[in-house]
Amino acid sequence: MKLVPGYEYQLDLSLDLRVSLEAVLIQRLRQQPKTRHQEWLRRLLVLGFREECKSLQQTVGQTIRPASDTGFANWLTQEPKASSANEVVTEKPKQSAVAVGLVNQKPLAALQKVLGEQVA
Amino acid sequence: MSPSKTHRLAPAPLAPPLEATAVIPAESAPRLAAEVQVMDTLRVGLDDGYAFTKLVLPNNQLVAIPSRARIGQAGVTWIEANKQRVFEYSTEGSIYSVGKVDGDSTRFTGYPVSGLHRCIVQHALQQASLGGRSVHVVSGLPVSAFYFSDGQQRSGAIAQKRDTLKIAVEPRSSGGMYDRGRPPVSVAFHEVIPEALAAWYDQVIDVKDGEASLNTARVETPVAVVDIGGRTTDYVVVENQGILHRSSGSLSKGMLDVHSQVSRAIQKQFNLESVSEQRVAHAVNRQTVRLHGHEHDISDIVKEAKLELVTQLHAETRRQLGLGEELDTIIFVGGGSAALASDIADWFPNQQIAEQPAFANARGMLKYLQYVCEEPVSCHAH
Repeated sequence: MKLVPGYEYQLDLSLDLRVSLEAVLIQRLRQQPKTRHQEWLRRLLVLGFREECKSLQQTVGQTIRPASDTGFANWLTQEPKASSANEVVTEKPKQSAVAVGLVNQKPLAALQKVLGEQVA
Repeated sequence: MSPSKTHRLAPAPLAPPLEATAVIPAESAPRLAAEVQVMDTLRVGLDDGYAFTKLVLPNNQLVAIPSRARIGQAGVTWIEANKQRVFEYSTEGSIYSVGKVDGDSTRFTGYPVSGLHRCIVQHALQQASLGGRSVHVVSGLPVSAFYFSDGQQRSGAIAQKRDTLKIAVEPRSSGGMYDRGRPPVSVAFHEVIPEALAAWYDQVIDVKDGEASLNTARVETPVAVVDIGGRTTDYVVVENQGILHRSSGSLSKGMLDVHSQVSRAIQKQFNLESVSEQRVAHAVNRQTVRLHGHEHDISDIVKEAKLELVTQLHAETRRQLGLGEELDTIIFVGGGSAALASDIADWFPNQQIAEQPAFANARGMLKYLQYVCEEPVSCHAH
């Protein structure tokens, strides 16, 4: 991040195509007219931060948690809770899910063991 | 515009909520609905073979293109977009031409992690009309490239293959006056499994009306899959949901060996210095070759080349599977199984050739992705 003359900060951000959400984000950005890229990204960033603020507000008065334990910080890594997974199943079509994070609620997930253990 | 002529669209996943509340003119609704649909991540089974690249989509759409491309620009300007037969792509600073070109050979060890491979896969995804979409993909590696001989996974090679498809590939403009540009297909998630095992997943997972169920009879019995591909023939035996590694592996022989032998024989018989790869493929399929304006029958050459391959495959199959008396079923899959169907028809009394054998791996890869695989769910995944 560097300071430029005036009231603006310029952010220099790299996204990783190997991260699903970031790849989708880039894809979505490409679908916008180039003249709207700045505006679209700025709005996305501000709305994301607003969500972060909401999470911070909810933690006020509660036990202090590590900074990484906020809603926004968890958005890439959170495991779906059993209750939320059930909600997804009841509210959405069978082969459609709206969630964020790694999931394996697949009906035949047990068949993954046929591949054998992955060795580091 | 009167309010009755407006629609409110559901928000696209990850799109800023402001768009969700915007009032959309009725005439723009179909286009915007299509854009929202484009935002959905699509699942794809990808059998990225050395001879053909096959895709299976959740709507049962099947796509197959020859794995044919070469490094460098096409050097052709296509006036009419619908006549375009060669397509250019760039990745990691290099340009590749894919389609109706005399392709560079795919028969080298690093092909599955090369730019050549990446552009061919991108072209297959484009041919499936997925331009602008994000996709989740499962593809494969030959059994011997996936496992060490002791059954341990080759995690380095698998990770390398997994990462390679995530490297960006950009379609390039054809330069024609009607060219409207092609947005790239981006691979947001990619998993890799052994190719022949994909066909086993296809066999044991039954899908009816969108519901998946396990074919318990098949899961509980020992099954062998023989996958005759372009460069390799894979063997995998699965019993009690485990792979018998002593009877599984790969032979570096496939249908491209038939092409090589036919090419050599044509050069020799007609005193030619070289024969293009496209011409050889055509000759193998049609059993004739057109030279100096005349068709020449080469059925004997093709028959001899096939016989040599079949003899080698038969010997290796006996070595891997014996007489197959302990196996419940031996399933033949892969494009080679279709091309050699009459030659392999009586190898085992308990054998069968899979339905649409060339697509069996890709079907299994899609089923693995839909019903088995751990997968990041970043937005609507279909």
